[in-house]
Amino acid sequence: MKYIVKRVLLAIPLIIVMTFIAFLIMKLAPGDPANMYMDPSVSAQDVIQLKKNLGFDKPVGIQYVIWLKNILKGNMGYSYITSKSVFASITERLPATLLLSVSSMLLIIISTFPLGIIAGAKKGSFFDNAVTVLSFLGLSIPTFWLGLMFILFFSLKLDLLPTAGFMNPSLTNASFLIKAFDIGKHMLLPLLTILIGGLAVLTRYHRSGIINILEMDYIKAARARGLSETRILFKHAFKNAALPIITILGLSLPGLIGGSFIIEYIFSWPGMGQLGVSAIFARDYPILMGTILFSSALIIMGNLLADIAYAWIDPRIKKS
Amino acid sequence: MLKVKNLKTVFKVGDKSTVAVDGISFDVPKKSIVGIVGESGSGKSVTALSILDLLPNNGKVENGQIIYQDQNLQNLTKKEMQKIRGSEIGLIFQNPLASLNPVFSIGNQMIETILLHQDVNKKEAKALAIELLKKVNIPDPEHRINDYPHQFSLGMCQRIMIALTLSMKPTLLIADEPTASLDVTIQAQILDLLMKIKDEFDMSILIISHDLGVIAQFCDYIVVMYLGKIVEKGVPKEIFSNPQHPYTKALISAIPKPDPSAKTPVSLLRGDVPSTMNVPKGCHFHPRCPNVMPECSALIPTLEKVKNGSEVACLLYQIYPSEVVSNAKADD
Amino acid sequence: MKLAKMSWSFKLSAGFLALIIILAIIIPMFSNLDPNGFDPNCIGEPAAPSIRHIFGTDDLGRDILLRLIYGARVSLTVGLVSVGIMIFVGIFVGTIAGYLGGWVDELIMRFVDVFMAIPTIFLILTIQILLKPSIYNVMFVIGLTSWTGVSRLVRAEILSIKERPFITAAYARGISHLRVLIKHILPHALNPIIVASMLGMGTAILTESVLSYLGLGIQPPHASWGNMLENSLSFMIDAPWMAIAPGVLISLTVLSLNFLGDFLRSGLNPRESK
Repeated sequence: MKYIVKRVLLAIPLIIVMTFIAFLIMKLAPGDPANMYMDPSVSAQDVIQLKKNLGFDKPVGIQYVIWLKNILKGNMGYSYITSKSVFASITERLPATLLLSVSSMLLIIISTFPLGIIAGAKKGSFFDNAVTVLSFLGLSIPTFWLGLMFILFFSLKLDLLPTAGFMNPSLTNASFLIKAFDIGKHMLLPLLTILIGGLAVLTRYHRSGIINILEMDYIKAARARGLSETRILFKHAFKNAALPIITILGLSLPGLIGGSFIIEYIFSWPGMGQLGVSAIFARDYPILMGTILFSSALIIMGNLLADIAYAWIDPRIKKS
Repeated sequence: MLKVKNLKTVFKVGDKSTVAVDGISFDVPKKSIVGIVGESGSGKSVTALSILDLLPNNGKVENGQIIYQDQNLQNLTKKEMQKIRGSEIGLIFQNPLASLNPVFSIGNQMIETILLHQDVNKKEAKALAIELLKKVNIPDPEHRINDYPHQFSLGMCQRIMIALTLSMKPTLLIADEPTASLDVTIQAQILDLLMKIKDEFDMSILIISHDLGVIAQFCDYIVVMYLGKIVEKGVPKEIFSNPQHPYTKALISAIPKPDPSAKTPVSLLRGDVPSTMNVPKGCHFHPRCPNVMPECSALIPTLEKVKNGSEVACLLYQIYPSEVVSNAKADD
Repeated sequence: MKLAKMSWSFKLSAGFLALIIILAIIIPMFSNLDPNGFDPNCIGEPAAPSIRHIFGTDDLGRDILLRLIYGARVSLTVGLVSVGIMIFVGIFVGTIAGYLGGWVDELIMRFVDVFMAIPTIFLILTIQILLKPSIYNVMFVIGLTSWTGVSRLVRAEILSIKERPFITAAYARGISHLRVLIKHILPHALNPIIVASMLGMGTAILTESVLSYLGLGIQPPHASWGNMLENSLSFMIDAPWMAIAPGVLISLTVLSLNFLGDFLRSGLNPRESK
């Protein structure tokens, strides 16, 4: 319990620093924000008034505090392009991103466990070597290019799956099942792309974890009690190996989320990532800053969850 | 009940092979306690692993028979051997805390084992586990059964291991350095416990240790090993009062005696135990032997009975000529 | 390291990298061929691979193979310089944190945690937007955002070594702190740093390719493996070779670097058995 409280408390300064960095980026952006919101035919007086309204005449420190207060109230400013509320723009995109990220993460976890276990248990076998080589490949292939290749192959050449987007718009009034199936079709390629990269990283760690664990005394003792190899692998070794994976998953969250942003962009998946990357090109700084804040917050929360999960599962921490 | 004949176990290290156990033979009769004593590199732990087919991937039993109750364990399939492990022959290790899976409660591990070996349901298994914990003197077993290994002391972990093994009701218990990582007072408790369960459960025990003091306390028969070979076998009384082999003599005299007035001559051995990669030619012990003779570097001694009833493998006592260098056969 | 025991994957990786490096250096030195020059026969539409153009041409009629080789120069340079920066900053930060310990260590590590929590790609993209994209700020930005791993490695090594008896013995002999640090402690960190460099170079090349693909890295007309992929999307159906060749090359190069890095990791660490 104390452990969890400690982790939560540590996360708070992290978030604060994050907001400061995001704010800095906003401030560093070239161009006068006031000009961004208006057309040039407005008089100079009105510009000064607008600047005052937006609080730009105050010292930076105060601006930061005001900005922070606004953020906490949910006011993240307005898009330079659409003039829509940043908060609203991002939150309406959040479900799509969460759908993609959470499904991919679940898939990664589910797939890495059997792969790592069998590769580790049968060290040096054909399966193990194949897994190792494929993991290396997965780490080395540029994710965005993989996405492109998938589009080339499955959509353009084979015409099996749609190239981009979330759902066929003509299906808006169709039944839930049909919609879900169509969304799934659209999600398949981006999911696969994320999966390969994430799997590559985790499986290597998992495999070496299993190899180390299988040399431990308690495994030998379990064998000496007549337990079958299957039981030893999938119960005794597995739980011990799964623990570090949780930590590693937490550590690779920034990479995974960053990567999924690019993938959203490539596949035109209407998530927060696509919004953010487009905002970068459009120089839409408020949206950009909002995206940074949201994604960083997501990552920090994800790490926190991972820490809590770890502490919950590992009895050595839970009971001390 | 257990007859080991000419056991030879080798390990592959890189492209070389080393012989860890070089043709040893001994018996463990019913309801007796046999002790194997030797220093590191003697091959005593490897013997235990060989019996139960628990050698690591680079180890192999190259020769010999392991007869358990008229069955040669070497001829069994993997599945049959798995059935033997635990329910017929149990094995406990040196480091008791490391022998327990840290992420499962001891209750979980005990119940798992019980369910595997006995035809009971979960509730009965739990009750049995609590009973066994009581038997090995774990206080408050009803609650502690839900605790995790790290919450117990080393001594208690070893008791839990013993309880785990008992739950399978083996007829032979192999204890590999059961007290090596424990404090002396706890050692005594564990050994005492082992004695108790031996009588109560009608088991035989094969105890392996480098500590002669531990062996001396309760073995019916002692086997002394050096660098993969048996150098002397006999009953404790004779081994301790009339050690025959120069190595045994050195071991005995190295036991610290708490009596300041008794100044017994300490037989000091030269050098260190060689690594198993560089086993000396001829008698494995000859480079360090205070009574070494020229022929010791060429001939491998075989075990023979001597006057006091022990068996010794030493050219000092050799009556029959032995064969040169490799291929020594031990007569039984 | 026993040369005879090196696996085929190591030899293949090393060989491939050597080939790329040699080609990247020699061809520009000895050839007049202009990677930005277009074959007049092929203007207007990309040509499929043929004898004249082994990997085909792109939409502007430029030979792809030649551009790949010039692109190799770019990618390798970016990789090397970024990794150099990464190591420098990483060692600096890690050493201060690990050696001084205490609140300095805590503070620095919190800062590192924050840094690591931001999706790097996003940060890089943002910074590139704020500045004008050029090869120089690509290298700097990649270097300045990837040092966190190295700093942790170095810090961990220092922490584990600085309390060891042989270090205390060195102090007892009157050797100054700085000298102990440089001569006795840091060499232990060398192994993981070398491994991190190889892997870091692979990551740098991948990052550069993403940046260039998005138009925020190496600007055309200069060839970079990433920006060669930039407009390949629109030509995917008709001229897939435009998209395939650079990607394959990137993958193989990074793969070789990863293999080598992993090999060095297990080769230099005596305890680990593969």
